[in-house]
Amino acid sequence: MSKREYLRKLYLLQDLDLLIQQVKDPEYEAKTGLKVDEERIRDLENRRNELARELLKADPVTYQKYEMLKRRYGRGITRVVNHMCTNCFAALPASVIPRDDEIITCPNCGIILIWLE
Amino acid sequence: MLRELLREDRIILDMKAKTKEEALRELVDVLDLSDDKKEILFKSLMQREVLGSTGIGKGIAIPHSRSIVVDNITLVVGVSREGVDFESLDGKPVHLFFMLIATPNDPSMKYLTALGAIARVSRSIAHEGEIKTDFSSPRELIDYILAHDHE
Ligand SMILES: [Zn+2]
Repeated sequence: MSKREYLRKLYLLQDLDLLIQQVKDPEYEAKTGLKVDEERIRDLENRRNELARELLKADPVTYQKYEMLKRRYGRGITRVVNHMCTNCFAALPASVIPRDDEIITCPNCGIILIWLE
Repeated sequence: MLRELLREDRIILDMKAKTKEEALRELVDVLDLSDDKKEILFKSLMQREVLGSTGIGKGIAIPHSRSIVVDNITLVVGVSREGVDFESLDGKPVHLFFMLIATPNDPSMKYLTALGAIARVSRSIAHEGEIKTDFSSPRELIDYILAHDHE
């Protein structure tokens, strides 16, 4: 798996993690009145875990970094906007640029960075 | 809370969509985002729908998601005169959409409070019976929504 593809999948994993976290928050149903099907959440968690296993196998170091960051910040990946990390809001050094062959992290807070056009 | 989120340039007065997919795409299209980002956002919203429709019934839906593609918590409101089949619990077509997108970084409190405020306004509008769909300007729709926002 290329690094670019890996990052795409890791980003998908984060989307699933955010969604699962959102619908499992006890405040969610209380505030919105929306009911979520338990069985469908389990299906989603299974898909999430399958993807996580694939990513762990392909690059254990990056995957474990993601999990560690998620525990620390609630997310493992953030977007770069105006050459700034949107997790810690530090301006990135000019040398930090997107690369196809490398997963880039913020030199200040360590989060995995993604550039979106 | 809603007052700050409602923007005249994020309103659709006469949606063309007939299906859930079309409706979400039409709502996403209002935002000034690249095609790549729109696709990411659309998929994220669809993912949420898989867990159960956000059509809360009585002609109102509140599709929502956290997404990396937006810079701030973002609300788009759309009106469909014909109605959209959104697989709502009561099976009724949806005439009023509130699409809320939060960034992954927005605190849960802020996101859920915004969703809660939208749900409350929706219930208040639904309570009146028929949903108004003939707005002549975005401003008129915003005023209609705010008139139902009793905290
Ligand atoms: Zn940072």
